[in-house]
Amino acid sequence: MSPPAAASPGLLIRAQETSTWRAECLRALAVLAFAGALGLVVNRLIDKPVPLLSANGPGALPERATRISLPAFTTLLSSQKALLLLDVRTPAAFNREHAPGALNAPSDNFAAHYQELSLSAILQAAEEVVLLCESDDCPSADRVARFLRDLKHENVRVFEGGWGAYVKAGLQVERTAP
Amino acid sequence: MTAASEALPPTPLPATRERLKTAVLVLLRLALGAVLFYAGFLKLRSGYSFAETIANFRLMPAQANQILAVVLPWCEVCAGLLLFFGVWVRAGGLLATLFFATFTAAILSALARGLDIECGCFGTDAATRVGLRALVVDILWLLAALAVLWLQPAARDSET
Repeated sequence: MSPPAAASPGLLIRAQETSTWRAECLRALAVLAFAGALGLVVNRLIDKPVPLLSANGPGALPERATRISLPAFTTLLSSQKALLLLDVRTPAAFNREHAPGALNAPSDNFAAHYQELSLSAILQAAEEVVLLCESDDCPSADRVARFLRDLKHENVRVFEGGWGAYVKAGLQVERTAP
Repeated sequence: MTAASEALPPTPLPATRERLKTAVLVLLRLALGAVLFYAGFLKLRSGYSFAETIANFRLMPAQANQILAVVLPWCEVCAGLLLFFGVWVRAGGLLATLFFATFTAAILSALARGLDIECGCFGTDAATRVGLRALVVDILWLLAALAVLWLQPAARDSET
């Protein structure tokens, strides 16, 4: 029997490196598994767990709510109708600048804001409700519109183009002094 | 080349260069660890709205978005802790590379489709929009993660 051929040092180093990287990948996978399991356990224990397997949970994209165009909006502003401007942007964005008379109810945790601000009565008193969001492609406003529609508030529309379009149109803006 | 010089071990890096390399590695892994921990920690508090933020990217079905919203923040926190405390640095670097490569791809995909949405990079309160700035920041962090992988010697794992 012939003796096994001696491996070159280069090959040995390469084999060693490959095995080291394999070990690192296994460690990384172990960390992912541990962290993932931790996340799932904690999610079971918190007050408002994320419904993991629900097709209509927060991970579902809402259908696009009805938009109101700029001309229709300016007509509405000049009409005598009881209009409620509901700004669903973050409090920070709202405090920087907002439409005069607008009410801030951030889309993040909107259900809580709905209760806190007693929005039910305010929405019922309004003939038209326009949601102001960060941009036209703002699914957060669509989620709020869906939430309100589920509570039978039917007269809700989203301002087309969002806050950017509102400012660009030269409509009145209130700014908080720095 | 003489036989004597062939027998010599490879020339070690000058001490200052070695020290500089170690310092850069420590700085990078501390920064990367801190940013991953911070980003994960912010998302931990708002799993529900983070699932909405992921959904806005329109890349995966609802269930996948929800599972990712629950799991990803803890993965970021764990990877951040590994890098910050210098334990399993290469594994932490691999995870950081995976995260930032994925975030970069997601932002690129959103930009390519013209989506004007929140990034969700640092939780849902920060309200950073998907855009060139978010993309550049993510690419820089990705480069930092790759640098950690490149600079971290295998034998000295968990020492730096």
